[in-house]
Amino acid sequence: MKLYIAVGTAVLLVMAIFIIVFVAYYQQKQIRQQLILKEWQEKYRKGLLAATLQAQEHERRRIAQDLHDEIGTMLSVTKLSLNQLGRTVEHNDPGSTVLVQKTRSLLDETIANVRRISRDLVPTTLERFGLVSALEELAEKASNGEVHVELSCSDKMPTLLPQLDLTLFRIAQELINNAIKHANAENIIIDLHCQPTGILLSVIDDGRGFDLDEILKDKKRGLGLRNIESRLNVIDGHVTFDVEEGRGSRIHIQVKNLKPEVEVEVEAV
Amino acid sequence: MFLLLAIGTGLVNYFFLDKPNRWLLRMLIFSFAISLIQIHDAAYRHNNTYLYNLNSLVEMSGFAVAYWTELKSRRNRSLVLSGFVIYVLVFLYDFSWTNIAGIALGVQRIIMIMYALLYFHYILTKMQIQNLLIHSMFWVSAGAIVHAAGTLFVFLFVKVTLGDLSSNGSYYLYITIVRTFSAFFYLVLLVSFWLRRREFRVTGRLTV
Repeated sequence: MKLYIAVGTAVLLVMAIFIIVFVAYYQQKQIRQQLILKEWQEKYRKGLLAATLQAQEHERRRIAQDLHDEIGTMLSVTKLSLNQLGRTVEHNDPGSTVLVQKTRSLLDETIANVRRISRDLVPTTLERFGLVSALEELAEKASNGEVHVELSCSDKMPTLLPQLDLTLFRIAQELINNAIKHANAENIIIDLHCQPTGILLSVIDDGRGFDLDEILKDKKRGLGLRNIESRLNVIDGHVTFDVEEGRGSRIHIQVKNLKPEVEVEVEAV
Repeated sequence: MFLLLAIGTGLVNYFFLDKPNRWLLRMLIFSFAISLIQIHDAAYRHNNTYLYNLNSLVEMSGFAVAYWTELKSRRNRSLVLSGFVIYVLVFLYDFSWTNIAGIALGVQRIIMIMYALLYFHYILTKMQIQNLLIHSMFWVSAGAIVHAAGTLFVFLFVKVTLGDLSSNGSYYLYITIVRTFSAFFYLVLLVSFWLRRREFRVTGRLTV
């Protein structure tokens, strides 16, 4: 009987130890698999986001091209015809000349608008001359009698990857637009600096600020800011919002100047 | 001595202990009080075997409450409660003032194994613990399962093992085995109290 007790106890002990080892091993294995799965999901999500942004850029490019090549051309042809019509009307019906001139000026305005929209959709300056020039142009375009936009930049800016250039440009565009439209800012400073850790882009304004939590809660209002976060997510960048209602905002973007995993193609129009 | 060390460690790390570990510490303090009474009774040559039975009740209550607080799901809690109710019924049936209640102690071991297996199942299905090897309740369960497996047959066949004091000195052998496994379990509890401190700090660092 004592032997049976000894054997039974030994068997139970072996089983207990086996169960403990099995649980520890199996749990660790499951955790590792979960981590791998999470990594894959994250990679997939980033890929999807990159593809969406890429599709967005393609679409902008297509619309810009259509505006420039088709509507722009049609408007130019229309202007030519109107000029011819204007000459005919000048001789036969001098009373309608004013109307032709008015139509011509409206047409000129439309052609200028189409060109502007087309240029805004595709940042050609960015592709041809780089980020600094594109930001200079952006600052110049945004500045008017009421708003003053200034660019402060490092003397030596490295050549960045096209995807990085485009992301930073689009973010700056969004932030300036927000500062003018929603914060009623009068002075905006775009600060672009190269650091050992990467590139730092700051957009500082003297507007009325905003409540970040409230904006992010509202799905309709927080779209622009979420878009910024999505763009940065693809290139492993970070955004810091130093904002508060009633005072100017400071938004800092930090990105690494490394070759990212997912690249967005940038095509010339 | 190991019991005292485990209590000391528990008290030192009391701030870091979670609810289940605090209940286990309370259980150890009660066990220690019972041990002191046992020593006192033995010194005055009074019968102290009933204290083994009472200690079993204290251990089982401590375990039941600890696992009740740790295992959150309704199904697990009902299993913990059922196990405890079964044990109490067996304890009431088998309790004796003059003998070790072998069946009750045996059932206690079986239910301890059940609790440990239930906990293992819980951690394998929930998958919330990143590093199991520094998770204190895992070691508590591992210690409990080894302790219970090592002493189960000793108590189930209590008449053969601890029943007769004059049977070729086997009583001393088996009581030493029981004490060794108890010491091992207290040692594991000591380690788990320290691990809980570490776990607390790691979790704190992650959430800040």
